Amino acid sequence: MNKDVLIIGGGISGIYAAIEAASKSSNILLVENEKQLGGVLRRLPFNDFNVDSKKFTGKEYLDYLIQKINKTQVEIWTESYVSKITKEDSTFSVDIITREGIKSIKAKTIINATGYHEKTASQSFIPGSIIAGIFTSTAILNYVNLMGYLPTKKCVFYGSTDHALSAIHSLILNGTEVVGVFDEKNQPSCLDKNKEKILDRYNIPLFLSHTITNVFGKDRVEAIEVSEIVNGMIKEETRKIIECDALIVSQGFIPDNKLIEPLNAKMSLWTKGPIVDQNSMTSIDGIFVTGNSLMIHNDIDNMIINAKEVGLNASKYKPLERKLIEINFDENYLFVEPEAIDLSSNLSNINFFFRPSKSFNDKRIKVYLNKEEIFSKEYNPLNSTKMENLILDLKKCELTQESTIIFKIE
Amino acid sequence: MTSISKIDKAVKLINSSFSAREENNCVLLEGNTSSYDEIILAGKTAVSKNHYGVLNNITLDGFKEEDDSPNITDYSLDNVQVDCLVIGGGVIGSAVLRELSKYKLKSVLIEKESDISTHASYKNAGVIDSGIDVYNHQYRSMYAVRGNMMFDKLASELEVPFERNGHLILLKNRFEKFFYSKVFVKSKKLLIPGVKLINRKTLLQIESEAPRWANYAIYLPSGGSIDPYKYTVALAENAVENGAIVSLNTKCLSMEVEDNLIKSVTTNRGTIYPKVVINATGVFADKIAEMANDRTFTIHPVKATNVVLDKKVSFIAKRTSFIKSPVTVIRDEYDTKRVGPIRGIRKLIKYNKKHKDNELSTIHTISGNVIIGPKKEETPIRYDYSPDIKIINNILDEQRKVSPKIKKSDVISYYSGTRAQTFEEDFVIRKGITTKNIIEAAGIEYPGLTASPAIALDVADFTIDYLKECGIDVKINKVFNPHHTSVKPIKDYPSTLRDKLIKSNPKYGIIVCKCEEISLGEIEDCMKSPIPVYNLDAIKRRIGASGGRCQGSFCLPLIQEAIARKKRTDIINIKKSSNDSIILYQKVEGIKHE
Repeated sequence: MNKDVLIIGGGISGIYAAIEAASKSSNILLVENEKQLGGVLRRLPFNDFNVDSKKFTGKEYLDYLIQKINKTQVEIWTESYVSKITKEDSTFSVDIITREGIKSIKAKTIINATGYHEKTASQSFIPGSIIAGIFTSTAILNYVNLMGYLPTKKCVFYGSTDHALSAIHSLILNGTEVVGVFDEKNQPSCLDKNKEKILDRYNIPLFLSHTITNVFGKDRVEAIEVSEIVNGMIKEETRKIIECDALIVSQGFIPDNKLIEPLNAKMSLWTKGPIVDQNSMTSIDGIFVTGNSLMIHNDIDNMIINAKEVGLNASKYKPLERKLIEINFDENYLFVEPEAIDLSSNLSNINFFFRPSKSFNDKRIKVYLNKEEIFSKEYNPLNSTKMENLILDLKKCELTQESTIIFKIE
Repeated sequence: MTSISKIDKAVKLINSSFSAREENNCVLLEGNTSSYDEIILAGKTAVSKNHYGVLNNITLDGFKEEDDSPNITDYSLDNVQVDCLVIGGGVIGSAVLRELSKYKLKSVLIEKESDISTHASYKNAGVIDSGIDVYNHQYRSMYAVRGNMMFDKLASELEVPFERNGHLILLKNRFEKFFYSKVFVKSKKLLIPGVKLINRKTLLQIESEAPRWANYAIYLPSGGSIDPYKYTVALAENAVENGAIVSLNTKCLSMEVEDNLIKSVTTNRGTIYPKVVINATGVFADKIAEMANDRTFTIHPVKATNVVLDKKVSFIAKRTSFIKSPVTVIRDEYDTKRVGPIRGIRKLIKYNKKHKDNELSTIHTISGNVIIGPKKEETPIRYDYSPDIKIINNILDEQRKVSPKIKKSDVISYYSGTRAQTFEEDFVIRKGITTKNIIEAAGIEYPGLTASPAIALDVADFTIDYLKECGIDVKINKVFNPHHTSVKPIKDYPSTLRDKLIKSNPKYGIIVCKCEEISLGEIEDCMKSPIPVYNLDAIKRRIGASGGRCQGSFCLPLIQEAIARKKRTDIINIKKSSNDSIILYQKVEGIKHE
């Protein structure tokens, strides 16, 4: 079986990429591991979404997307698991595990949209052994919103990500008491509007610069101990014990690229996703990445824009030799995406996403080409929790493979 | 002056309330203190070759042992007469039970936890040691060498993944080669095959990312690695297939000893009447020995903490496990300066004293993850499984000297286990001394996993000897089948075979655990085992589901559903491990259940 584009992962990005790719080709396959399309969206039925100038709940949005994709010619396989991708001369050979057996297909291009996984309790360095009652916010959303079971009656959150806030919302709607949210950082990790909508509305206290210093309980969490951090040190006298039956950890996300790692795709130290060019193509010709497996988005509009572009790029893909140059940035950035530019591809109006490493006021984003300023714009304020974007027209610049482009905040 | 009065004097110097006297040819320590370090020091000081061992009765002020009895009480084992009662379902107990199932005997194993292999055999890196032991622990190296040789056959019989890729001891400077002669002589004495000194070039052929300071290495080709829980579970399951009985959630509470014989053993599930009892209770071995009136040793738990790294950094120990030699000192990762022999030796003597037996290893595991550890510390708590974050950071800092490429974000998990160390720091494998019908398999610390098949052989021999002495006609179990079918991950099958399997059972085509690519069919297979265990940890141990990168955030709910369906119960009743390890409280109202 031959396919022009294979999209792995039927979440929001995968669906948009597939719809867009279907506008150029009628030979598109979307593979989803779960029973239904939706990915994270299935787990967020109560969240509000504001897309395509319409207001949706998570559930309505998913129905809308499914309706949309069903109008296209995209072939959809659910409960199908991509096991292995092998690169052949100009195509990829892909093994897909389904309930009918192993299906092997050939794809000209692949879009990886497998999403992310949340840092586990161990990866968050929670003290003590991992007993029942320590969950990630992903697990909470799975239990409550997918399965319909309540895993906690009184809990404490460690980490204030937007995902954690969604989990809090789901728990509160089901009568769980959320004692508080503790975050090691000195500012919340979530967007302000979510903080207002959930923490402020339900009067859930947020303790910044706090960490979990102990977990009590033999078989199930019975209490936890939290402490304040002052100048990077635990302040002993602030240790306090909170009775609860669960500790819910939400310490950040890691893009999932398990399938393309074995092909030795170059990975970014900053986004933890693959290094891509302006077309979101990885270091492997013909493999694109979008959505949260590219980088962790907290803004759905940017994510959709990228997914659509990637869908289009993949369907138009022709194997040509690329001339890649690296994009540099200073330590004021958490990341700049894309981290590479292909000089032989379209250079006009390249969309760069970036996140500052800390919050700034009265600063300008500047871009230099060979020490010459080519872009300067004030962003006020620059918030480290928010991803921003800028558009650079590099067509008019004379770029060679020796050129250096550097992003600065000044 | 007799040796006991010397010991008495020595322990009094540690704390004036301490005293030592002789009892049943053991050194008995008494007193009380608020410092646990003093107890350990006294215990180590009291070790004497003229006695069986040290009995520590020094109490630690304010310390109370936690009660960990299972919350199940019934009479399912009441008044049961058995030939052999094995207490403890770790690797030793399970290996002994399998040996005993080679005879026509009624053998029963009781385990207080909800599954086999839950403590030291679970919190284990799976190293099959070559048996080389530079610190002169007689039984430890003897049993390890014997056990090591048995693994090829055992692993194929039990279908447990096993690799024998060798171990390495890394050396830096030329003068450190004298350490090799010490190891070489020892290896000849212990009959460890193929030990040799290799140079950097050969080292890089074996381990391409060997630390840059390692100019030489001692290669121990018999070293290997195994999956410790699969091995332990397979031993116990094979024993059950051959007629033995395993009773989980069953704790030995007391024993009735009369005329130097154990008459009965009382558990939370009734009183059992055994002919002979095997003590394989790990960190609790001294307590069980005391119940049986046969205590000649003290277990002082040693907490060992390990760090597990993601598979993507498995290149740092692709094939072998390695350790820095105890005579090698690296000042920092960039130190390439040569140290002169005199300065070097002086340095290493000082260093050696400080770091004795506390080198970190880089361990290649059978699953491909690299484990770094163990960092050891004394603890009065027998199940002290709370890793200290400081220790974890400490391990990572130290390990960066060996493998500079390791980052904190490469850690996927960490764990602490407790080792059942005696003050003599050696295994206690023997027949009962005061009580006749007990066999002790105690003080089993590292390399207990490697030693387990050899220990099991001896313990079974002791048991059969005793039964024969009692005039019992012990017959060989002629239908004993050493082969066991383990649940194997089907992703490792050739794809035509895997395809055929899926076509015969579509559940093999439904992937539940995305990180480790494990299907619903395999999860259901785990529950068809001879020792079916219906909890999440048991499934994780048997097939590795939920043990990957996401540590179960996505798949645990689905596995819970699968177990509940199999057990025909509500998903709320499916626990993490023990009966109290509740995961879900109630159904959510208003949201439709899928």
